[in-house]
Amino acid sequence: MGVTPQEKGVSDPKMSLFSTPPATAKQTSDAFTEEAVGHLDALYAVACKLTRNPAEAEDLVQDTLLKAMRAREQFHAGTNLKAWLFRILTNTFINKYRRGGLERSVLEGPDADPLVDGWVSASTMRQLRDPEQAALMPIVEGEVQRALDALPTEFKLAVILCDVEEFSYEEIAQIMGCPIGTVMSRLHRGRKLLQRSLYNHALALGIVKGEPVSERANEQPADLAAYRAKRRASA
Amino acid sequence: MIGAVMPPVNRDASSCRSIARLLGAHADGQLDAAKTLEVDDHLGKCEDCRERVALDRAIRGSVKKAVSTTTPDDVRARMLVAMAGERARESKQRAEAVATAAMAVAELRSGVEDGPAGRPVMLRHWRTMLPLSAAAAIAFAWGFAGKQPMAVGDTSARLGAGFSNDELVNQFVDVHRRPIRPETPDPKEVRAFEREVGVPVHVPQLEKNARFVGGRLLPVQGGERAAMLQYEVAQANGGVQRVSVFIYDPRRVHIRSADQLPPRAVGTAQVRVAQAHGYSLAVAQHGAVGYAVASDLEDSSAQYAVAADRE
Repeated sequence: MGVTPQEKGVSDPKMSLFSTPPATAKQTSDAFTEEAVGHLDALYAVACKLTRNPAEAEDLVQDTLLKAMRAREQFHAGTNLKAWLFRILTNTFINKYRRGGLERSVLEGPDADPLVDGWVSASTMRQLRDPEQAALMPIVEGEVQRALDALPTEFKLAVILCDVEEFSYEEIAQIMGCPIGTVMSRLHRGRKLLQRSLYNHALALGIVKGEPVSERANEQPADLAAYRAKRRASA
Repeated sequence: MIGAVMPPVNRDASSCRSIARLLGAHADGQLDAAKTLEVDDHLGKCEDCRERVALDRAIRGSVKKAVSTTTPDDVRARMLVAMAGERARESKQRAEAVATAAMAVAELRSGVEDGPAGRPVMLRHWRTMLPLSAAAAIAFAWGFAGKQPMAVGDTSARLGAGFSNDELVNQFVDVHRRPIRPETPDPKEVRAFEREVGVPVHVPQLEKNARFVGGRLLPVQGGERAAMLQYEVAQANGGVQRVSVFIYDPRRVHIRSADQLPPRAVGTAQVRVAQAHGYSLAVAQHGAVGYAVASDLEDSSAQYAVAADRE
């Protein structure tokens, strides 16, 4: 075409770094990379919720993908790539933004932030949701973003990994690097916190009537050991 | 699954509270059969818990909506560029690894006798640069070295033409592609080829997964002879990748096109990568001995795909 033999930069070794690999099947169909890109939307969505900042989310996802490429020898083919990518994303996020790790000591103590289970009546619960579909009333739904953002990171992450990305508890435990019991506890508390702020929001809007749910009440996390102990006691 | 052994169902209010705590795991499908039945049983009787489930489902639906997003096109494009850059960087590293591999062969040759003990330092370096599988790395490098985009300018077009005109490169690549049966699998007999080749012929140990298949003499231009050493490298996916090492006397057998290529410096040596038929040939000279290394152009993606299938 119109390229001269003397074109500058051709012999520059850096050029080869930035020249796009030719579009042959051999170069572009790196199966690992392609599969990883297939999870981009999920990674980006969760990164947005974690960082609450599009630019930081983009950095986080890029770090995640490049780290995954560099470490792909360690990935066992046939195992769950999506979970592996989310583990890298979570670790990267913690290392970058949360040097001290997830804030479990404060929020996972035995009597930290207990929630009521039977806090409202069935009819009140019914008023919160859209009878037509599996969603909240639109006016309450508008509050979900904010309520989710307000959740402590580890609760938010557990809820998103479970409810949005539909990972199993075991996968979430691997991603977050904690026992399954902790996953259950974080999920339970995360969901209760969400319910509470949505309920309080609905109260403030006058959609439902009742008392605001207070911070303190008497509930243990969804802990299997505690559950069994209770069952044994009541049996 | 959670909770293998269940106490008998208790239908009082405390049971409701206990069940309520399991509703999340129930909806997540994470309870075992016994407990799932217990919760189902309770849901059949308890309107409050049914409402809890319905509200929980509604919140999930709304959370899903709130979180789910499509990555903006510009973000996606930047990710792809970053990943392509990473791939190119890896390819470049692997190209260097191939060159180093070729040099390792040359350096080995300069050792006192055959065997990897000749230059342990060089070998270690090479192994560091060739993670897990030399041949996989070589294949990557071929992909890179062999497929410079034509758009970068006239230089690549000229060089490309140069490569394919080189009979010797063609011959080496052809014989690698369609290998002739080795004359002997015995390294000692292979060493005896040096009388025909005119330079010492040693059988280097390429890498721990690499098996020496055998060697043979190869007639080349002007009645000269080169030695061809064939290796098979076991792949993680159970397959085998072939590597051919050619040894010749560079004073009498000359890879002309290699001279036109920019050399890659590896240690004290210069390695050039020539190309024919989509295969590449790493060419190096050490002392008075010429070396060329060819490897299967195994598609890395195919390897990954196969690995994934078999896992």
